[in-house]
Amino acid sequence: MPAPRPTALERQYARLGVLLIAPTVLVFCAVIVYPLVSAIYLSLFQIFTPTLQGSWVGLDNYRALLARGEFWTSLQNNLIWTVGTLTLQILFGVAMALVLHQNLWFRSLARSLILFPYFVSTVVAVLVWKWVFNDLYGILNHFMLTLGIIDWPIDYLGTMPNAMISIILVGAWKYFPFVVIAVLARLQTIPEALYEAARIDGAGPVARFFDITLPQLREVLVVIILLRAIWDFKEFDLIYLMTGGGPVIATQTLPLLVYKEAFAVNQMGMASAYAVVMMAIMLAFMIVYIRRTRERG
Amino acid sequence: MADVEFRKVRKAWGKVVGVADLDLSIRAGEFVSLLGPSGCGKTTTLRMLAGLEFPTSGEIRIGGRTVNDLAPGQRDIAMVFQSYALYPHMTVEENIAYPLKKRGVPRGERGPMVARVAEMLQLGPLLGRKPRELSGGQQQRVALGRALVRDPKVFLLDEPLSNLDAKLRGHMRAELVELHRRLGRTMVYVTHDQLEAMTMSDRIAILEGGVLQQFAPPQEVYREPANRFVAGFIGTPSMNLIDGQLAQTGGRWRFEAPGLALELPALPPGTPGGEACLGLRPEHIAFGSGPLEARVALVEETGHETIVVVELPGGLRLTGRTAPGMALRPGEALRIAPDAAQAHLFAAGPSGRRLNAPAAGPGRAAASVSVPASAAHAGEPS
Ligand SMILES: Nc1ncnc2c1ncn2[C@@H]1O[C@H](COP(=O)(O)OP(=O)(O)OP(=O)(O)O)[C@@H](O)[C@H]1O
Ligand SMILES: [Mg+2]
Repeated sequence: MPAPRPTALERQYARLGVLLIAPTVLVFCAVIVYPLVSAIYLSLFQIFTPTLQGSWVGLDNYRALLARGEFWTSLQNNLIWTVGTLTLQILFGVAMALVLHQNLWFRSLARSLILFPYFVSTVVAVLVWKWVFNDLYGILNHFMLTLGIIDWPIDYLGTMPNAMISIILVGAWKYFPFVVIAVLARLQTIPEALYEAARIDGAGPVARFFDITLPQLREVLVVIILLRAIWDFKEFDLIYLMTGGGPVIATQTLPLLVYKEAFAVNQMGMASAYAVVMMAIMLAFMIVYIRRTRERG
Repeated sequence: MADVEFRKVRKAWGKVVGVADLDLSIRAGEFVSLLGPSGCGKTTTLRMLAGLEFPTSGEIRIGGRTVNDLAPGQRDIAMVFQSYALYPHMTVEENIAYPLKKRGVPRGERGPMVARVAEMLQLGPLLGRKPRELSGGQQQRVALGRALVRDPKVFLLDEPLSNLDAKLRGHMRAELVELHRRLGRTMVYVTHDQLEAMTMSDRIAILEGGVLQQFAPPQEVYREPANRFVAGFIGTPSMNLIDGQLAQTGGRWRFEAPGLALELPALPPGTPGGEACLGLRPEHIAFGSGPLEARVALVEETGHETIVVVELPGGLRLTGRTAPGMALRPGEALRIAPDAAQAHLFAAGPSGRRLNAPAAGPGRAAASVSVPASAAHAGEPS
């Protein structure tokens, strides 16, 4: 059956609709599509960054990249960092949200304080933590030495695995408030009657957590984990400022590698190729995320 | 034997009193309704019995055992919540099996127990569904199933029918009564719907402002309200409550109000004269002939009867009910005859106590309460 011809009114509505979304589409194209397409385009050239002069090399950049040990090391670092910091964020975040959900007299104060790390700019936070971790003057070593836990100062940022552990911890400290806020918001919507019903049904506190709280948090946790995984995967400033990717390249993740290629080695084409590969990996996360959210809807 | 007992139970939050010095003794197997207007303390009473709320003072006993210090899970009770409180991520089957699981019933024994309840409540085809895939009535049955599966000592129900439409409510009312008859368990049922309380209960506890007003079988509550509050609360349309003067002359009692004077049957010796309140059920006013003059103010046809509001010369308004078909028009003058033998007499004040003995015999009251006889009798313990 042929679709009925749209009436004049329907056509008018359609025109209005196009008019209304046009600005959004234009901005989207300018800030998302154009850089994306040009990144892919640039990755097919060998380009010297200062002059932006280049020559076509086709897929050579990609071939070279996959053959390079540094790429694989950075990818591995990237995964260790993402999984490590994300796990800690979720554990701290959920635990803290559960604590703050209780009726504590200092609850509202604690709730505002908990957001502090999330609001502090990364540069400031990193400066503070670098002082804490400083091997010669740092307060952490000072305390540990005074308490007699260690005999020699520990180099927290200049050796491995200390450097990786340090950035994972700082990352968890910086971003766990996001988890707290999202989980707390969900906790507050769980009907109290469910807990009361469970108490009458004979469930103790632990059973109530696993049988009611956790299943109710499942959906929000899936969304948090996916979003944070994407954000942590592409984290640049925190790691760059903490360790600069060092010692050597032991904490260098893909975003740091892209930056180094583009502005230290001055190979814009190669940097673009790295960026495109990184995007492909994140696309995988995105697809999972979209699948999950669509299933629920 | 008392199965559930409240002894001087009081619940207050700071200055707010939810329940004041409640003494209530419920027999084993009894169906008791807690009835009263919004905020009277019904839910608070039930929640204290469930262990979800702690009494400020007093003692609560279940099956002869003081339960004040027992957690809800240890009190051998089951509760149906007004919101049903089904576990949203579990299927109907898992919901019903949950109390068994938490009490360590082995997996193999749970199946038949759930099946028995599902059969009883016709939940069989729904067992695999999640609560959000069920209608309100079905959710209500699942909530009931979760309570029934365990065979507890006492069932607590907090307005379980209030989210259902009128037709389903009528149906579920009958089912609950039938269920109670079959199980023979003690049930405490909270409602603000007097029709539910009247049709389902063995006894009704009427609360107001946290204070127990009367605890008696439905017919007694209707025929012999203990005070003015109960008189006005029970019955639709409500009882006419007329403030006036009570006086004794030559051994005869007379009640007088503007436009109304009634000779009353003998009152118990020692009844004080002076200000009092006369209560007359709408069905105890006859229209067409009688000693009093009145003017029709309002006529409401409900189909099976007609509600008539008349105004006496003194400005007093009385509500009455007649069979349909009596052609009355607002403004029309007519004569009315209050049945003084059926009148209730209360002391002055908003909760004045009853002064006279109830009228002898069932009178017209029994016939005119809209209680299906079968349902009312099914509620008695077997
Ligand atoms: N947590 C609380 N804090 C303070 N006051 C409360 C609390 N819970 C109940 N109340 C008060 O106690 C009184 C009785 O409340 P309750 O919930 O028992 O009423 P109810 O009879 O169930 O009313 P409804 O028919 O509206 O459900 C009310 O005046 C209410 O405001
Ligand atoms: Mg209530």
